[in-house]
Amino acid sequence: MFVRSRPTSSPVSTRRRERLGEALVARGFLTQQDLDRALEYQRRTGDRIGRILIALGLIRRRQLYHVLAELWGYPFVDLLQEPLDSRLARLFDPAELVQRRCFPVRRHGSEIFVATAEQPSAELEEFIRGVLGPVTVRPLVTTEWDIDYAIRTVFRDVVLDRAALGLYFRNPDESARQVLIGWQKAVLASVILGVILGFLFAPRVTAVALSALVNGTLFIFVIFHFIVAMAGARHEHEQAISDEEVKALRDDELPTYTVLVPVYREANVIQHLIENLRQLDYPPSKLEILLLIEEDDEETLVAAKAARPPETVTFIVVPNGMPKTKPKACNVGLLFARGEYLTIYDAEDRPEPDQLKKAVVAFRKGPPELVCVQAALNYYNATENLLTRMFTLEYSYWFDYVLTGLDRLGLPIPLGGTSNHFRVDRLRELGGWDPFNVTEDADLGIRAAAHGYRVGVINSTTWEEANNHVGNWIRQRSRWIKGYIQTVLVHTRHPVQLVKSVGLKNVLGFILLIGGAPFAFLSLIPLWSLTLIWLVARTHVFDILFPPFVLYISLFNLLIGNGVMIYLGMLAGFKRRRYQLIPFALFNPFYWLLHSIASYKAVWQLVTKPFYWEKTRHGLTRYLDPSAPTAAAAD
Amino acid sequence: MVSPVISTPARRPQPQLTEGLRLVDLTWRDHLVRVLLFSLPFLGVALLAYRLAFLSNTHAHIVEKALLAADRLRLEVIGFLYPPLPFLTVLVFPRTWMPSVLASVAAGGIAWLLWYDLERTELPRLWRMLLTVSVVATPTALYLATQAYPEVLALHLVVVAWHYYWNFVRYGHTFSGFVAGLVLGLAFYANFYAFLYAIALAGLVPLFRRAANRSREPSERWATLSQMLVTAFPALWAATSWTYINWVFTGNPFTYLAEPATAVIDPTRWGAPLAERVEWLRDFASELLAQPLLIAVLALNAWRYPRRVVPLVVLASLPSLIRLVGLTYSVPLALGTYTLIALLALPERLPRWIAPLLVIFAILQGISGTTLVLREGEVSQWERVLTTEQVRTSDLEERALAVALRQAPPRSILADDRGAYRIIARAESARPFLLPADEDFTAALASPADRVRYVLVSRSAPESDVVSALFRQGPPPGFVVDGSRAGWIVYRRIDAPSLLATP
Repeated sequence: MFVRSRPTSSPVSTRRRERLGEALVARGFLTQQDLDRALEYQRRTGDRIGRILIALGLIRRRQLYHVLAELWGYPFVDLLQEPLDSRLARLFDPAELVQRRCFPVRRHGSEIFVATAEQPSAELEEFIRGVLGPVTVRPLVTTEWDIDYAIRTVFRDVVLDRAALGLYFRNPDESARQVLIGWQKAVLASVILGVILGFLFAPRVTAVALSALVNGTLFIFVIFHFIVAMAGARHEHEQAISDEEVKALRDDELPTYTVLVPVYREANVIQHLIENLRQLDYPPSKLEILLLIEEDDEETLVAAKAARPPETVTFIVVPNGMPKTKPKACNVGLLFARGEYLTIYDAEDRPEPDQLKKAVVAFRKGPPELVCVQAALNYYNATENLLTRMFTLEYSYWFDYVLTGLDRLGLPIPLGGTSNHFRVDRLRELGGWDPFNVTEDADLGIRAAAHGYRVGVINSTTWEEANNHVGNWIRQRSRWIKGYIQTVLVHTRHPVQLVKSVGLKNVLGFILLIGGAPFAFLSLIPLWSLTLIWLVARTHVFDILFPPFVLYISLFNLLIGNGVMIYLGMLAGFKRRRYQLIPFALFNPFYWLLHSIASYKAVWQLVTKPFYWEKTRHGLTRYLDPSAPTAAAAD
Repeated sequence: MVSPVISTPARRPQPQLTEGLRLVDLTWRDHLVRVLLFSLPFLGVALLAYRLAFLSNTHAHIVEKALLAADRLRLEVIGFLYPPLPFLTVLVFPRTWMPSVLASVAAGGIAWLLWYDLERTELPRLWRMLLTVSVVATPTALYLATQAYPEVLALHLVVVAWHYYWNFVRYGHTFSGFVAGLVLGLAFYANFYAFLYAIALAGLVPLFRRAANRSREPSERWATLSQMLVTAFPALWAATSWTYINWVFTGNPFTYLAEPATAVIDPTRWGAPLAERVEWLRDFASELLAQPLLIAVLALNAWRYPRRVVPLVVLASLPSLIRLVGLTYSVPLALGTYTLIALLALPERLPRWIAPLLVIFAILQGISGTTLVLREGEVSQWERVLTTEQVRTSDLEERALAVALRQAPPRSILADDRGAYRIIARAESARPFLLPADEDFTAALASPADRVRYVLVSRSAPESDVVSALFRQGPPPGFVVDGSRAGWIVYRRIDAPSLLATP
């Protein structure tokens, strides 16, 4: 099956001297003009000519490797056709095979045929011998796509296992696979029992205690949000990364960047995704885009192929298995990632073109412990309807002010769903994403902080599609709130250890931010119902719930806290000059009601289906046309 | 700890954006130190007045409510006292000198901000000092700074808000806009008029706003509207909330407007016919014309920044408009407002020759203000006490009575703090008194002998003082007159020891 150009054991030295570009031109695969263009590009980026030719779409990958095989003097092998020796391959670690871009194909006595996408070297032979002992290594040449394919085929179960359970096996306490651990179950049971007994034997004291707890927590939550948002507002005009710093970056200094794009049943937005990714201002030869498509999602795979993406886009089929979540797909992508840095975009995302470069600058400026930088997310369909307006206000408030405030105050930053940029080595060290946590992004940000790493923010925006249907919105929000609860439960499993590792301030900040939101939304319906009943009926039944200090705090929450939260919502429109949205902040109380409904659904699902991923449907907006973002952003 | 990304120098130079920003260039510690330094002269005057036993009615009222809440450990016993902010700050340490000290600090803050603003005029330091002294060292300013805590606190907050408001409307500094709005919202809890200033400032955004090239574009109109909303929202929310809880707890949403100590509605003006109101306009006009510094500053603005004249005139007219609709606005407060508007509106980078003129106008304004303000009863008494350094007999007697009453057992003196607040404040404890906020008060009123040992009444107390109204003609059954001081009569239950007997 091998395409034997030359005997496998002795490469021809004369051929090796021929340069790749010239060889491609000589064989009619490339025009001299295109070669000159690629060489000019190479002078700028310092990248390898082969990668450049593929990235610029000047040559097909397979053609390139055929010629490389000829130049290196080894046979080319098509791993899609070649029978693979699974028993042999499985003696190796798939992650190492990915990084070394090689795959052991078969054994003939003491000869091992190894496919490689890199020029064969003594190092390759040492690696193979390191695993198999004294063998003769026979190199074969293939594309890195073939290698990835072979690894996915042979190691399907290992890939699935690592993606789904890697974190859990490494440290079960960092995974949400177990919703509650022993002592958490005991505490929860004690609290429930205590409340029941309290209502039976001391109903008044119990009611007052609960009322004080709820109102006191809400009070602290409001104060915390106020401090964080105002800290963000105070530094609104400061730019983490200046345009000058981005311009000063030289292409040859840029590292390889991996972009993960997990998609599921999103055939309708694939074409737009490809277009949006084309806009990224980053040398294509240093860009590795991994489109993560679920195994059972044939429709999206077909659409992706039909979109004829550039050669820099690689399809990674995610093995089917539970849990079927985005973080699991990302973990598969992480296994195959070869970049120094990595980011995630959703299918409908429109990142600002210089975002990757800003992230690179941020990592270079930042301290060694900076493990991730988060870009802002915002919506291009803000003015579509009332819900998208409210959602945009909320997102603007969160990413433009709250995250900036957390960053300035040195508090842990929960990552947003996309546009978080990682150092790949650190991300692997952290164990990747937790597939059992449905807000794996928030969880990862906190886990990074717990490991002593830091997360920063950069002044770049990714434009997304705001949910424009209430049902779809509640599905998405219930998942987020469920994930927040999971995140709190996971990271409070060893509270003393957590305080020792990150400090009390950070722990309190994390609990208030991540735990405070579900708590506030769960409290909202009961508290507002009490207020409404009291107003309508003017009953004194509830008076026992409000002894003086509880009354003062609850009055503060009702009369000042709500006002402050509405007011902070107005902040959202200023940074991006989306002034038309600002008056809509007055509708926030109605929007919070939706949150409250979603929070109850979240709690119910946490009990019944803790790992179920409520899929948000994308591509529903009429603003899907990529020409829209500028107009929408300006409003 | 700061951002890992932003911590390294990466601040984008934006001179055009930050050049004119106010207050944000100093840390709060820097401000605090300067505020305390500028407070020292006011603190001196306040302590002198305290030593001479002078206590303004407003301060007495605040201290008395604070003492009551501190003793009963329940805030609701004070009813919905308005404005609550001065009361809450005094509650930290309720003593008769406390409001004066806090007022002095608030006034120190104002003086510091005025000095800070004057630096922008680029006038010589000596003239700036003279100008500052000439507006601060007037009876009006000193009275407000030491004896009118709610008013000076509100002025202080409005002045702080003004600086941030300026950053917001002129330079689009979002943080400042939100601080301005929040401070104006807070100021509503210090004085009702702060609410009116918040609304006025919001309404004046289109006039103060820096004219953008794209001012006719819809986005600019939305930007203006948003700035108005941000400026007004907290004050509107605060006023609505306060009105709401007044309605919920008292049945009348506007109870607070008629609070005795800081009544917003002026009963003598509220129902006046239109013709009479037209007559007042002449008084207001002459009051305004007697402010030469204000007029000079308006003229300077007309010369340098004509767009600012209309909004400044609107702000300067607010005290008159407020009184025209029948609300109270004390003369010292009006004069203080005019002076502050004049100094805050001084244009930047003035020619040096203007400095002496400004000082002269300031002195003239001070003199004219003094003649007006000394017609006010309490202000003239305060001025007399301070200038003669002679303690008023009434103050001495009040203090002696308070010291005597303080010895009484808890809840043993039936009194009504709507009339007796000065005595309770002087006593620096509400513990001996049984007051309308107490559950037993009604029962004690019906049968004093069963509940209390003493009854405190005054022939000159207002009708709202139900204890005085009921017993001013004579002691209740089982009581005898124990003695009288400072216009107050103490009745003693026959079996109780005398409180006023000279040892």
